[in-house]
Amino acid sequence: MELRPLNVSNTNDKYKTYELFIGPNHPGISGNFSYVLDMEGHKVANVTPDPGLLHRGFEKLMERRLWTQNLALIPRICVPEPDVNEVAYCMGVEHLAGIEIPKHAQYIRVIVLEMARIAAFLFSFAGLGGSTGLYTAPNWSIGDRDYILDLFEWLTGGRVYHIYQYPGGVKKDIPDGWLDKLLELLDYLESRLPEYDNLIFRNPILQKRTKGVGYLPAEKAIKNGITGPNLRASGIKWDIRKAQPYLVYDELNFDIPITGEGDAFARTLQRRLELEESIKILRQCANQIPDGPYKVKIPNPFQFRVPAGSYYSKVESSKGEFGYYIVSDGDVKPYRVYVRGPSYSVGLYYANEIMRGMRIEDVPVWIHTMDICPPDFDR
Amino acid sequence: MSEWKELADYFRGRSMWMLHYCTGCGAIELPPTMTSRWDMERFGVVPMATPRQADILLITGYLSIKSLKRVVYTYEQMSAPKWVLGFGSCTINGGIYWDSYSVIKRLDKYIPVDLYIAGCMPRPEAILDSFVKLRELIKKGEAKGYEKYVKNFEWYKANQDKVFRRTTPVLKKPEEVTKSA
Amino acid sequence: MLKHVEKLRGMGLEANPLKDWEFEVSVPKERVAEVLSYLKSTGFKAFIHLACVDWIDEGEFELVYNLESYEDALQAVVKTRIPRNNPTMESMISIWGLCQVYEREVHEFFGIEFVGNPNLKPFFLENWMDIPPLRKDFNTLVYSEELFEFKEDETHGIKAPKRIEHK
Repeated sequence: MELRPLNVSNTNDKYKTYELFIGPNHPGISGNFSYVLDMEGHKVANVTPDPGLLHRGFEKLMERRLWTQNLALIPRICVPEPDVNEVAYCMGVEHLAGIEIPKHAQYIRVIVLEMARIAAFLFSFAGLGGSTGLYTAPNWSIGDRDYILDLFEWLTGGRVYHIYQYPGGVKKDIPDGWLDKLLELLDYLESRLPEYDNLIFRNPILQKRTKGVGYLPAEKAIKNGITGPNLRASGIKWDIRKAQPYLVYDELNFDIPITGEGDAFARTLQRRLELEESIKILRQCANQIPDGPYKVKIPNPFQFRVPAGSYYSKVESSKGEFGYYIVSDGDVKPYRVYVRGPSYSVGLYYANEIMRGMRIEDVPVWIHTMDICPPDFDR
Repeated sequence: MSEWKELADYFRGRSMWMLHYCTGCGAIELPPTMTSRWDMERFGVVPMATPRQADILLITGYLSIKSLKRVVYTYEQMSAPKWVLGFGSCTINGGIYWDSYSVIKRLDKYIPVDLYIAGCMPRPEAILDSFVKLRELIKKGEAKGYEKYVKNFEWYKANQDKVFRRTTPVLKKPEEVTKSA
Repeated sequence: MLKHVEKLRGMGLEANPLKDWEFEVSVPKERVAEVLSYLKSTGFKAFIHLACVDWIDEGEFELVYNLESYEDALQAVVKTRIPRNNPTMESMISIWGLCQVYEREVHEFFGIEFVGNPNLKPFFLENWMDIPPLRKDFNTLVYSEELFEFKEDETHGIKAPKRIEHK
């Protein structure tokens, strides 16, 4: 008996083309979100993103709440990294109200942002491990992320949502001994990095699964509004922390690593390299944080009126540019707030282009290496 | 007969498979619960990818109308006995989204809920605690949400249809409706 | 940045610097495509967002296009106003294909028609029949009370959940 020759397909196969739902209930999707794929055998022929499963109407709700009440609402917009929301919103409000925040508070903000970035990067490694079948990676990286959450809990009282920023500074000062613990944690994380390298980035199976997948050239990345580590992995040296520095990033000494290959492996490696830079930033902050007040007093929240005007404030998050376009008409509530999530253009627009012709098993890998976060475009 | 039922309930409570469906922001506390630090497998709870083989539907947080529809499909695909855990304040009364046009307020109007976990968001310990509580309820034969769903099927369907199969606008100002459906 | 502002002022537009790296331009509706393609040709290659503001008292919608230039590290905010009654706007998909999804969202949440956009089907909401939700005259509280009836009810024999105390 002979085997059938290779590449001869079954001509009367009625499942030659079919429709496949990736999500919302699918282990390969990052959150409650859905792609409807038209498949031809193993290849994707057409993609229809179906967002809105997480839509909560934040932009409407924010118009109904006081300027400071909104701080309890907005961390929910980006769940893996909630602090960027608070900082971007507070920076926008402070710019409109003309509040200058003290140096000490600015350093605390940078510390919080960078800790959140590390936590989000570790979370993305877990997603990559889950989508490639490397289940040791989630067990390690989620476990290490929990040490960061423990420090957050000590600092702010919340594990996931911190609600720690406030227009004019932060809610509470750093407790005694917290910075020492932070430095200890940084040493621990740094000692773990070689192990991560061996487990994830030198793993031949993972390299095989990710190298060459979802290749994104530089001009396409700009054209499609892709920001953050994904843009840098395509070889463009653009980081808001360096190019248009906010808070005290201009006083800190750090590099922007560029991988440049533009495929899924480069994007993962980019996050791994940036994690190291974040550790460097945190160590500098912990050592050179000046003494001083942690906030300036703002008026009673019920009387806190922000002068009329509009401002777009942005923060470099672990996924890209996170922006708040805030419009005030001089009232105690915002007139309009628009939230620009970094995953919007990637997940809803660029997916249509890149996924065509991709093999089905590469789709979850692409989603997780792009670090698509559905809540930030559903809002 | 009843002894067999008791025995079956005893074993059911010790092997609960949880559907891997991240419906809301509470899903961020599930990876820590699943992985090395809290390790929910100690309690016989493991994530399951398909609803047909799952016992627990964990509603992790708020549900928009669009996801409620998928949740109801999923719930009806699961085979009895099945239990629903409402996770977070949003499933109890809408929580922080109490005035949102898109988020449902009381989950147990649409599907029966056996146990709620309060808080926003509940810690992994609370999730583990809820599994232990659910096991006790199952053992005592009190967690019978799936029977309640069958008994009050019309009432649940009427509530669901009110949200899903609207044919008229909710707000009574037809002249202001500028966009067609 | 000032050279950009001067150039735009030379085109007869109102342009102001906002911050060290940011400026805004107010453009009449007809000239948006021209200004956006001009800015794209001068380095503002990245389209960041399209936001809409409902100025109900003035009877106008404001569309805000946000662009970024990675070479010069600059940000441009292009604003235009359109009337609130039967709002229509030219689609920008010929300049940035990306605008397609942003315009679809604005269409859904504000009801603005984008001429030339091939796909303005419902995006985030399903079976929506009321006025677009982000308009200022849409009352979300009344809507949710009406639709979800979330006030405590003990009817139909279904009781409120029993509280289990932590020991």
